[in-house]
Amino acid sequence: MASTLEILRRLNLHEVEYVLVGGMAGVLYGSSLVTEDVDVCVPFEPENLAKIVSALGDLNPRHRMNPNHPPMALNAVELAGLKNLYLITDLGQVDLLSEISGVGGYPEVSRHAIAANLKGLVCKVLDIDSLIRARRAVGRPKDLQAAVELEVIRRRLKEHAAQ
Amino acid sequence: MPERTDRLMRAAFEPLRPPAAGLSALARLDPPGFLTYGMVMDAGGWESSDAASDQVRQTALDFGIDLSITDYLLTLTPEQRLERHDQALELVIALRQAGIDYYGFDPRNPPQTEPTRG
Repeated sequence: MASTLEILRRLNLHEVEYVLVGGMAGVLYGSSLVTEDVDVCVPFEPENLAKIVSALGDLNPRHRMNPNHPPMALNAVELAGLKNLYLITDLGQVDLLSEISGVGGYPEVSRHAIAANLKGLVCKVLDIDSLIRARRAVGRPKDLQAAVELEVIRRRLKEHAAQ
Repeated sequence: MPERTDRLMRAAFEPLRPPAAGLSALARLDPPGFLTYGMVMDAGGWESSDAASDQVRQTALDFGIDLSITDYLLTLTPEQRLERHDQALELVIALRQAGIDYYGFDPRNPPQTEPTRG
Protein backbone atom coordinates (compact mmCIF):
# COMPACT_ATOMS: atom_id res chain seq x y z
CA MET A 1 0.00 0.00 0.00
CA ALA A 2 1.35 3.41 -0.93
CA SER A 3 1.54 5.73 2.01
CA THR A 4 3.77 8.73 1.58
CA LEU A 5 2.70 10.31 4.84
CA GLU A 6 3.50 7.14 6.76
CA ILE A 7 6.97 6.97 5.23
CA LEU A 8 7.62 10.60 6.14
CA ARG A 9 6.22 10.01 9.61
CA ARG A 10 8.67 7.18 10.14
CA LEU A 11 11.60 9.28 8.95
CA ASN A 12 10.59 12.02 11.38
CA LEU A 13 10.00 9.63 14.23
CA HIS A 14 13.55 8.34 13.90
CA GLU A 15 14.90 11.86 13.40
CA VAL A 16 16.33 11.12 9.96
CA GLU A 17 17.82 14.19 8.36
CA TYR A 18 16.22 14.53 4.92
CA VAL A 19 14.68 16.85 2.36
CA LEU A 20 11.73 15.69 0.27
CA VAL A 21 12.52 16.15 -3.42
CA GLY A 22 11.31 14.79 -6.76
CA GLY A 23 7.78 14.05 -7.83
CA MET A 24 6.31 13.87 -4.37
CA ALA A 25 7.62 17.34 -3.58
CA GLY A 26 5.96 18.44 -6.80
CA VAL A 27 2.68 16.90 -5.62
CA LEU A 28 2.84 19.05 -2.49
CA TYR A 29 3.13 22.15 -4.68
CA GLY A 30 0.15 21.06 -6.78
CA SER A 31 1.59 18.87 -9.54
CA SER A 32 -0.92 16.46 -11.06
CA LEU A 33 1.70 13.88 -12.03
CA VAL A 34 1.55 10.54 -10.28
CA THR A 35 4.87 9.25 -9.03
CA GLU A 36 5.62 5.88 -7.52
CA ASP A 37 8.57 6.71 -5.35
CA VAL A 38 9.22 8.97 -2.40
CA ASP A 39 12.52 10.70 -3.20
CA VAL A 40 14.46 12.14 -0.31
CA CYS A 41 17.90 13.70 -0.28
CA VAL A 42 19.84 12.59 2.77
CA PRO A 43 23.37 12.91 4.09
CA PHE A 44 24.96 9.48 3.69
CA GLU A 45 26.69 9.67 7.02
CA PRO A 46 26.84 6.77 9.48
CA GLU A 47 24.62 8.42 12.10
CA ASN A 48 21.93 9.32 9.58
CA LEU A 49 22.16 5.93 7.88
CA ALA A 50 21.63 4.23 11.24
CA LYS A 51 18.46 6.29 11.69
CA ILE A 52 17.31 5.31 8.21
CA VAL A 53 17.82 1.65 9.07
CA SER A 54 15.74 2.17 12.21
CA ALA A 55 13.01 3.98 10.29
CA LEU A 56 12.67 1.55 7.39
CA GLY A 57 14.23 -1.67 8.69
CA ASP A 58 10.96 -3.37 9.61
CA LEU A 59 9.33 -2.51 6.26
CA ASN A 60 11.12 -5.28 4.41
CA PRO A 61 13.35 -2.87 2.46
CA ARG A 62 14.86 -4.36 -0.69
CA HIS A 63 17.11 -2.99 -3.42
CA ARG A 64 14.75 -2.14 -6.26
CA MET A 65 17.29 -1.76 -9.05
CA ASN A 66 18.63 -5.28 -8.58
CA PRO A 67 16.37 -7.76 -10.43
CA ASN A 68 16.48 -10.14 -7.48
CA HIS A 69 15.49 -7.39 -5.03
CA PRO A 70 18.00 -8.40 -2.35
CA PRO A 71 17.22 -7.13 1.13
CA MET A 72 18.85 -3.91 2.26
CA ALA A 73 21.65 -4.42 4.76
CA LEU A 74 20.34 -3.35 8.14
CA ASN A 75 23.74 -2.09 9.03
CA ALA A 76 24.79 1.52 8.58
CA VAL A 77 28.44 0.56 8.05
CA GLU A 78 27.58 -1.53 5.00
CA LEU A 79 25.48 1.29 3.55
CA ALA A 80 28.07 3.98 4.14
CA GLY A 81 29.86 3.45 0.82
CA LEU A 82 26.75 3.96 -1.25
CA LYS A 83 25.78 7.14 -3.03
CA ASN A 84 22.10 6.37 -3.51
CA LEU A 85 19.64 3.77 -2.23
CA TYR A 86 16.69 2.77 -4.39
CA LEU A 87 14.37 0.76 -2.19
CA ILE A 88 11.06 -1.00 -2.38
CA THR A 89 9.35 -1.37 0.99
CA ASP A 90 6.02 -2.58 2.31
CA LEU A 91 4.87 1.07 2.21
CA GLY A 92 6.07 1.76 -1.32
CA GLN A 93 9.19 2.85 -3.10
CA VAL A 94 11.69 5.07 -1.35
CA ASP A 95 14.73 6.58 -3.02
CA LEU A 96 17.46 7.97 -0.80
CA LEU A 97 19.74 10.27 -2.76
CA SER A 98 22.99 11.90 -1.71
CA GLU A 99 22.75 14.70 -4.26
CA ILE A 100 20.26 16.28 -6.62
CA SER A 101 21.10 17.23 -10.20
CA GLY A 102 21.07 20.97 -10.73
CA VAL A 103 21.11 21.68 -7.00
CA GLY A 104 23.96 19.79 -5.33
CA GLY A 105 24.64 17.65 -2.31
CA TYR A 106 22.64 17.54 0.89
CA PRO A 107 23.98 20.80 2.40
CA GLU A 108 23.01 22.73 -0.70
CA VAL A 109 19.65 20.96 -0.99
CA SER A 110 18.94 21.71 2.65
CA ARG A 111 19.72 25.38 2.08
CA HIS A 112 17.01 25.43 -0.58
CA ALA A 113 14.39 23.70 1.56
CA ILE A 114 11.21 25.04 3.04
CA ALA A 115 9.22 23.46 5.84
CA ALA A 116 5.92 21.78 5.10
CA ASN A 117 3.42 21.12 7.85
CA LEU A 118 1.34 18.10 6.89
CA LYS A 119 -1.23 17.46 9.57
CA GLY A 120 1.35 18.31 12.19
CA LEU A 121 4.09 16.40 10.42
CA VAL A 122 6.77 18.93 9.58
CA CYS A 123 9.17 17.98 6.84
CA LYS A 124 11.64 19.86 4.74
CA VAL A 125 10.75 20.14 1.05
CA LEU A 126 12.94 21.43 -1.77
CA ASP A 127 11.70 24.87 -2.80
CA ILE A 128 9.86 25.19 -6.10
CA ASP A 129 12.64 27.10 -7.88
CA SER A 130 15.19 24.40 -7.07
CA LEU A 131 12.72 21.67 -7.93
CA ILE A 132 12.28 23.18 -11.38
CA ARG A 133 16.04 23.56 -11.75
CA ALA A 134 16.55 19.90 -10.80
CA ARG A 135 13.95 18.70 -13.27
CA ARG A 136 15.49 20.71 -16.08
CA ALA A 137 18.96 19.45 -15.18
CA VAL A 138 17.86 15.82 -15.47
CA GLY A 139 16.18 16.68 -18.75
CA ARG A 140 14.23 13.51 -19.59
CA PRO A 141 10.88 14.15 -21.32
CA LYS A 142 8.96 13.37 -18.15
CA ASP A 143 11.20 15.74 -16.16
CA LEU A 144 10.65 18.52 -18.67
CA GLN A 145 6.89 17.97 -18.46
CA ALA A 146 7.11 18.15 -14.68
CA ALA A 147 9.22 21.32 -14.92
CA VAL A 148 6.69 22.96 -17.23
CA GLU A 149 3.84 22.11 -14.86
CA LEU A 150 5.78 23.46 -11.89
CA GLU A 151 6.51 26.66 -13.82
CA VAL A 152 2.79 27.09 -14.37
CA ILE A 153 2.20 26.60 -10.68
CA ARG A 154 4.97 29.04 -9.75
CA ARG A 155 3.59 31.64 -12.12
CA ARG A 156 0.10 31.13 -10.76
CA LEU A 157 1.32 31.54 -7.20
CA LYS A 158 3.30 34.65 -8.12
CA GLU A 159 0.24 36.22 -9.65
CA HIS A 160 -1.82 35.54 -6.56
CA ALA A 161 0.96 36.69 -4.28
CA ALA A 162 1.14 39.95 -6.20
CA GLN A 163 -2.57 40.66 -5.78
CA MET B 1 13.96 38.68 2.24
CA PRO B 2 12.28 40.97 -0.34
CA GLU B 3 8.57 41.30 0.24
CA ARG B 4 7.60 39.87 -3.14
CA THR B 5 9.70 36.75 -2.61
CA ASP B 6 8.31 36.40 0.87
CA ARG B 7 4.77 36.54 -0.45
CA LEU B 8 5.60 33.92 -3.04
CA MET B 9 6.97 31.63 -0.37
CA ARG B 10 3.79 32.05 1.60
CA ALA B 11 1.72 31.30 -1.43
CA ALA B 12 3.69 28.26 -2.47
CA PHE B 13 2.04 25.96 -0.01
CA GLU B 14 -1.19 27.75 0.64
CA PRO B 15 -4.39 26.72 -1.03
CA LEU B 16 -5.85 29.38 -3.27
CA ARG B 17 -9.20 28.93 -1.65
CA PRO B 18 -9.94 28.57 2.06
CA PRO B 19 -9.51 24.88 2.90
CA ALA B 20 -11.68 22.86 5.20
CA ALA B 21 -11.28 23.85 8.81
CA GLY B 22 -8.43 22.38 10.73
CA LEU B 23 -6.03 21.94 7.84
CA SER B 24 -2.58 23.23 8.38
CA ALA B 25 -0.50 25.77 6.58
CA LEU B 26 3.07 25.40 5.50
CA ALA B 27 5.94 27.49 6.57
CA ARG B 28 9.08 28.97 5.12
CA LEU B 29 12.17 27.55 6.74
CA ASP B 30 14.56 30.32 7.63
CA PRO B 31 17.92 29.66 9.20
CA PRO B 32 16.82 30.79 12.68
CA GLY B 33 13.78 28.52 12.68
CA PHE B 34 10.28 28.20 11.40
CA LEU B 35 7.99 31.00 10.40
CA THR B 36 4.38 29.97 10.15
CA TYR B 37 2.00 31.66 7.81
CA GLY B 38 -1.74 31.61 7.66
CA MET B 39 -2.45 33.48 4.48
CA VAL B 40 -5.54 32.45 2.58
CA MET B 41 -5.91 33.53 -1.00
CA ASP B 42 -9.01 34.05 -3.07
CA ALA B 43 -9.86 31.57 -5.74
CA GLY B 44 -9.88 32.57 -9.34
CA GLY B 45 -9.42 31.01 -12.74
CA TRP B 46 -6.27 31.43 -14.75
CA GLU B 47 -5.99 35.08 -15.62
CA SER B 48 -2.58 35.74 -17.07
CA SER B 49 -1.36 39.21 -16.38
CA ASP B 50 1.53 39.51 -18.76
CA ALA B 51 3.28 38.04 -21.76
CA ALA B 52 5.51 35.85 -19.60
CA SER B 53 2.47 34.25 -18.02
CA ASP B 54 0.94 33.71 -21.41
CA GLN B 55 4.12 32.00 -22.56
CA VAL B 56 4.24 29.71 -19.51
CA ARG B 57 0.57 28.88 -19.97
CA GLN B 58 0.98 28.16 -23.69
CA THR B 59 4.00 25.92 -23.05
CA ALA B 60 1.96 23.95 -20.52
CA LEU B 61 -0.90 23.59 -22.98
CA ASP B 62 1.57 22.40 -25.64
CA PHE B 63 2.70 19.71 -23.18
CA GLY B 64 -0.91 18.64 -22.79
CA ILE B 65 -1.20 19.85 -19.22
CA ASP B 66 -4.79 20.41 -18.16
CA LEU B 67 -4.71 23.75 -16.40
CA SER B 68 -8.14 23.23 -14.89
CA ILE B 69 -6.65 20.36 -12.89
CA THR B 70 -3.76 22.60 -11.88
CA ASP B 71 -6.22 25.22 -10.68
CA TYR B 72 -8.21 22.61 -8.81
CA LEU B 73 -5.12 21.19 -7.11
CA LEU B 74 -4.11 24.65 -5.98
CA THR B 75 -7.38 24.93 -4.07
CA LEU B 76 -6.33 21.95 -1.95
CA THR B 77 -4.01 21.94 1.00
CA PRO B 78 -0.69 20.11 0.59
CA GLU B 79 -1.86 17.14 2.65
CA GLN B 80 -5.02 16.92 0.57
CA ARG B 81 -2.86 16.93 -2.56
CA LEU B 82 -0.75 14.15 -1.07
CA GLU B 83 -3.77 12.05 -0.10
CA ARG B 84 -5.29 12.54 -3.54
CA HIS B 85 -2.02 11.50 -5.14
CA ASP B 86 -1.69 8.37 -3.01
CA GLN B 87 -5.25 7.36 -3.92
CA ALA B 88 -4.38 7.80 -7.60
CA LEU B 89 -1.24 5.74 -7.10
CA GLU B 90 -3.28 2.98 -5.48
CA LEU B 91 -5.44 2.91 -8.62
CA VAL B 92 -2.36 2.81 -10.87
CA ILE B 93 -0.94 -0.12 -8.88
CA ALA B 94 -4.28 -1.98 -8.99
CA LEU B 95 -4.63 -1.45 -12.75
CA ARG B 96 -1.05 -2.57 -13.30
CA GLN B 97 -1.69 -5.73 -11.29
CA ALA B 98 -4.86 -6.36 -13.31
CA GLY B 99 -2.75 -6.16 -16.48
CA ILE B 100 -0.25 -8.63 -15.09
CA ASP B 101 -3.06 -10.99 -14.06
CA TYR B 102 -4.62 -10.73 -17.52
CA TYR B 103 -1.48 -11.20 -19.61
CA GLY B 104 0.37 -13.47 -17.22
CA PHE B 105 3.34 -11.11 -17.33
CA ASP B 106 4.06 -7.44 -16.86
CA PRO B 107 3.14 -5.88 -20.23
CA ARG B 108 5.63 -3.09 -19.52
CA ASN B 109 8.38 -5.69 -19.47
CA PRO B 110 7.28 -8.60 -21.65
CA PRO B 111 9.32 -11.81 -21.63
CA GLN B 112 11.95 -12.03 -24.35
CA THR B 113 11.16 -14.43 -27.18
CA GLU B 114 13.61 -16.05 -29.53
CA PRO B 115 13.30 -14.81 -33.10
CA THR B 116 11.62 -17.34 -35.37
CA ARG B 117 14.03 -19.05 -37.73
CA GLY B 118 12.83 -20.31 -41.01
